[in-house]
Amino acid sequence: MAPAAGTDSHGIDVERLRAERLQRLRDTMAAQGIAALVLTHAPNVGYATGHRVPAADGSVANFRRPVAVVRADEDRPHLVGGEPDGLDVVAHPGSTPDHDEGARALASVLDEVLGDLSPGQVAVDGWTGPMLRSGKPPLAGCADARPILGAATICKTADELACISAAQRINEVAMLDVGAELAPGTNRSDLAATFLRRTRELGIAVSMIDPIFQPMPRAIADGPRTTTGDVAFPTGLGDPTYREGDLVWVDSGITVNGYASDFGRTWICGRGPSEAEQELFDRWRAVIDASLDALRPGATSGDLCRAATAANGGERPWLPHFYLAHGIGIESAEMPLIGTDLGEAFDDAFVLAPGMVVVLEPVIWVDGVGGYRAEEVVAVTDDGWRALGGGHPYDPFVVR
Amino acid sequence: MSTPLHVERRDRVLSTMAGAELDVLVLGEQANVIYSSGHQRLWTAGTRPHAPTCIVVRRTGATHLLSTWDEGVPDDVPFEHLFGITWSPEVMGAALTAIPGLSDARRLGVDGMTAGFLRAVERFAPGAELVVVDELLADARRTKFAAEVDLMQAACRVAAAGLDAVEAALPAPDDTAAAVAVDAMARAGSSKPVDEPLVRTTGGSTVVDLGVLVEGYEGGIGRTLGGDPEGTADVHRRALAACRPGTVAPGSDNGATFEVRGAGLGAERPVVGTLEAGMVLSVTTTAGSHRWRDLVLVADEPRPLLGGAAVAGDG
Repeated sequence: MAPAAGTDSHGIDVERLRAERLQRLRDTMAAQGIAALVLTHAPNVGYATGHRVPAADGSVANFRRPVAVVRADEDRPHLVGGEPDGLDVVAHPGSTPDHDEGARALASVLDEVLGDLSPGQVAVDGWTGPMLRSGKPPLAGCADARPILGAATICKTADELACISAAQRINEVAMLDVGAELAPGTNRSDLAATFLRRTRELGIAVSMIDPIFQPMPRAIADGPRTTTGDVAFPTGLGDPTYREGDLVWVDSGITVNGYASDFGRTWICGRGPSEAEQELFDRWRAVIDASLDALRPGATSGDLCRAATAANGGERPWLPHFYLAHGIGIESAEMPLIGTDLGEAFDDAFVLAPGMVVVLEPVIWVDGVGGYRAEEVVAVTDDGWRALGGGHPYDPFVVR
Repeated sequence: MSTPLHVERRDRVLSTMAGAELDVLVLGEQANVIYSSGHQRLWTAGTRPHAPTCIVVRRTGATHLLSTWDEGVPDDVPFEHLFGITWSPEVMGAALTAIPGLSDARRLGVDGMTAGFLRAVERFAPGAELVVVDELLADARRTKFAAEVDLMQAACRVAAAGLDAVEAALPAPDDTAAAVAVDAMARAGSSKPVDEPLVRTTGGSTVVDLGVLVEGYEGGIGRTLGGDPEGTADVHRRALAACRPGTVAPGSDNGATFEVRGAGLGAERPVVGTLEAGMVLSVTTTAGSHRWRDLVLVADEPRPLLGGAAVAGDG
């Protein structure tokens, strides 16, 4: 079926997407008393202007990034450098703020565009070395832009949710072929190869993380030593060869229009689950069901944590260096962060609202048996939640 | 027994710190973190928000790392020098405050900043003068140790395996050929791209440009398949052969243009000024729709990392 008029190949109205999120950014600036933003982190620049830096290693992405300057009292954001064609921005010649030349070009634009503002009215998401040398914007006195981006992006528009869902489906489709390839003697590099080939065939140029297919130890003591005393994941190292019965934790992420997906499953190499392994999955499923039962507008992060913990017999079912759940959007992990070391008071004070995306990633671990980990991506709706993506199977585990 | 690479690199960082009278480095840029610590971790694409990831203290010679586990951490960074992933600025601040040598640092080097991190610095290193060290460390990383060249050569071979696979797959749509390339490179040893794979067919020829990372180090290759690239190939070979110490990077030759930048822990800056022995350059030669690219070690006899035969034999 051909996409509707005004939409891209994923059926997303990109113009509306850009206009609505710029308005959210502007509304948040007004609410927080910030007159201007200076943004250097590529996802933030993209959120404000629609500019997309093609996915690449950070060393390349840094050299390609433009800078966005957003004034609350102007209709269009400024873009310094980059490729402004087709964007509704005020374009300024420039180059990356990772070069002194680019930082100087930025400095003169800031003088021109923000010259009437004091540093306290300007929020910045990050300074590169050359920006620090140029002294523009000044390091002392400027506010932190990251809470503003966090607040603006936390509730997604319908188009943003459609992007995440489209990315999740592509990720899942690619993983069908990868899962079929896992067998004794297969290497991690074989699975990565198939995943990258399939996503490339499905129109995704570069994966956002090196896809993870980590064979897990059965006991914590058999894995790397950790500062938490718990399980090490994702280490993303080496090229292990899988053996029959290996529990393999899978994690990958690709983007559509700059919006991330997050695929998580546990696979078993070469056989079905033992009863003890299936019971890990049964408990994971119970934790997911309890978490989703608690998930609705007005519920707090604390409510979700308590529901998940109760369903796991009183033991917290997530990795202590991460969370029970995280948001996703222009970052692969963003607010809401649920069950982190920010603590219970933070979780109890955080109220879930329609449009938030929640990626639940509980982990069930029985030392000596091993662990089950998978991820469910859902959006909070007006009266509950709905799944994003296509509902990928849990093979070889059985929903019972 | 030769000195391990991570020790060679850290010693160079420490002597750079001594030369610039820096007491502490607090680093967030990926290349600086790997260079200073030897830490291998999960690869992610795109720009990264700045965060204190690696701390080097000159007085103790110690490296402290943001890592929840010891896998991928060199043996000489003790477990006690790791601080785990945290979402709490207070927890992060406390971890940094506990590092010996930070609280009384006079000159503290940074390669990027955020407003939140500035507040943290004011707590854990009150009175420290902030020194911007991105250029200083880029200079320190510019000439390569032999083990670095070996890793870049390994990465170039992975990229060459991708090129071979594309050549075998042609004729094919560009997207299909690009998918074949990433598959072949992952099986040959790297699923971490430097950039999007380029496969572009115009007229009778196909330009292919591929780059991957091995242990953080960049390798790459660009070739024009089919058509008649021989004229460009000759110019490209001349450009590579000209990468000798004391010369300046080539600008243009016979209608072809060159893009010359440093290569190392990913893409480095464009090269300005004279070349030094031990630099590795990524040299792209473009003429019309034809494009060739190789990594070359600057030396009295410049050494393309894939070997002279691979450059001379293709086309």
